[in-house]
Amino acid sequence: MGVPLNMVLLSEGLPFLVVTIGFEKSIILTKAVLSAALDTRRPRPQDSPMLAAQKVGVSSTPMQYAVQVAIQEKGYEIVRDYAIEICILAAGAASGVQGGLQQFCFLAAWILVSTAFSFSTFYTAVLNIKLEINRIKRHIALRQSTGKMTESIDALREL
Amino acid sequence: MRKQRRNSVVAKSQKLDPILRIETKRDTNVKCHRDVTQHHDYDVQSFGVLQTDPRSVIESCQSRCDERKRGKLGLQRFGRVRGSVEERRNSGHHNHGAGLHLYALTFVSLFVSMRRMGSNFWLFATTLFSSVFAFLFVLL
Repeated sequence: MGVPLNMVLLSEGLPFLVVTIGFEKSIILTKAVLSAALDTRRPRPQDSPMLAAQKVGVSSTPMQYAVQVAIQEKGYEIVRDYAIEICILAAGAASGVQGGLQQFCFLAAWILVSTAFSFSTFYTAVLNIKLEINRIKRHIALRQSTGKMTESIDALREL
Repeated sequence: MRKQRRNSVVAKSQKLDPILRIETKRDTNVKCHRDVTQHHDYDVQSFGVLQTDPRSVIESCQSRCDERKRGKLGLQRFGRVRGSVEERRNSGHHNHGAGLHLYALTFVSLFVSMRRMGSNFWLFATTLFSSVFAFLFVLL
């Protein structure tokens, strides 16, 4: 896009780039989704967000509910943080300070835009798969434990 | 005439050389003092005890001293090397070290928080994958 990219600058600025972009958004979303998945498992009171989502009338499986509830809770905060960071980096790129800051801010702002895109598509899909795997594992463990319980009850009856 | 003068300068520098002080331990260990070599170059500055042939080390140190005392060129080189050492010590080195520490701590905190949320490896790995994909998408 007309901005020269220096490989020395890139290799030296990579730690600062990682620290600038960070992973806190994915941590916040994962925490919210997992806590919402725990909430959907428990018996709910009347005014829970799950029922609110049902009233809005969207998805059917509990995992989709969990993701939906988590995005309703934390989505605004995440999008606001992304917007603020991109605005600050755009201001840094437009400031015209020589010596690499301009290129660094430009690259970091575009990486943030791209990260927001992949975060909302790729990472959310992976999170959904992870929740399904957790549910299947829990289901298998529950079935195994009930099978062992029935076997032990039969053995006790034979005695 | 010029050659004789140069030889005499070299001989004088070898004779009066206060800089070169090298101790030999047993046969193979050569210990070079820090104050002897701190003005020369990185590789000479950084060795403490070497496991090499002592003769080669003595010869290399002598050649460096001769080069330094040979004239203006040597002095210029000495000034340039010393300036570059101090510049590197004072300016960017420590800041880059702090950046590297924060860089490592970012990944460690991501891994620890994902592990606390119940995922051993895969959420951490997919977070990294998505970020790397975004980075490469912007670069390419």
